[in-house]
Amino acid sequence: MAKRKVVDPDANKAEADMTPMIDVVFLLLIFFMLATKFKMPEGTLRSYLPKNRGESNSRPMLSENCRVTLLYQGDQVVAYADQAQVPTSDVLDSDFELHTGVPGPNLDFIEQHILRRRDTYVALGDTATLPVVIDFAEKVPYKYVIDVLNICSKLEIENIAFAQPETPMD
Amino acid sequence: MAKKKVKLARKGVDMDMTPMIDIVFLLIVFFMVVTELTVQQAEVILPVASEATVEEPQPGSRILFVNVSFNKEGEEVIQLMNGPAMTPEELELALKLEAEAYGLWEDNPANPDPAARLSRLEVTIRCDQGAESGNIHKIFAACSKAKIYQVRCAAIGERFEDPYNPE
Repeated sequence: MAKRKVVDPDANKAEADMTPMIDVVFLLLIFFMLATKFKMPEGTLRSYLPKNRGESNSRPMLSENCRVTLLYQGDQVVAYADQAQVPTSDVLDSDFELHTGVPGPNLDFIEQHILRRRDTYVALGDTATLPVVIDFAEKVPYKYVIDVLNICSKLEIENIAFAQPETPMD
Repeated sequence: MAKKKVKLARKGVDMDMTPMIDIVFLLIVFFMVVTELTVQQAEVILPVASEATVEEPQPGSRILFVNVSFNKEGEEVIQLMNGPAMTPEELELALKLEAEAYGLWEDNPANPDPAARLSRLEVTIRCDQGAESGNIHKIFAACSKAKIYQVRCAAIGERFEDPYNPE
């Protein structure tokens, strides 16, 4: 009786050599790993424009608001919190200031001022929280407007208005 | 009769490469997708604001980006999305067209719900931190005239590297 032949299932299989493919694949992997630069997620500061028309400035209540004025004088931002001039910061505290080499206004001073005004604010009429008006000259770098907005956001001030730019007194 | 065991004449250990290749391909595809090989638009250096929040867009809303950046000549350029540079007047017109095309124009009689008549278009202003802030007056005015009332100012929560001197 003929002996049954044992068939090796792998005997007739064509086998591809994986080594070059894996070489290339690892090369690609390393390339893309090195070429990748992850971006920081961008956040936003929310704001709502008036749905109908901007409010008229003639409302008497506006004398109760807190006004932050940003002027641009000789390449430097000069800030006023209500009538008080904001001292210039002693340090260059952001990448923008390091880039320009010009220190900006002391943001802590503005924050303290708005905080004081907020805590002593007596609600008038329909405005439950302190209205803050940010009045900035056209040439002021955008960063400082966002800084003031950020302070307002930190202090949970909801009523923020942008004034039309004011020209310096002189 | 006990069946004779089939003995494979193999020497050495044979590793199964399939799972490894699966994972490696997965990684390649991942890195390919996240890699930005070309920067199509001018880079905007956003200001840093610790209170900036990353929010998911509301269902049914559409976000338009208005970029204010510096071109190669150092001039400030306003763009809607990746489009060409435009003046504030052109931006206003473009925003109006977007608002009309989006179908939630305030005067659209097809919207019986008064709340829905207000545009649910949102505009996010991505303005370079060194650009003149007078631009946002113009953009706000353009949005207001296009009856888009949800406007956001883009900022970055924190930054670890100096954007002016990239390595």
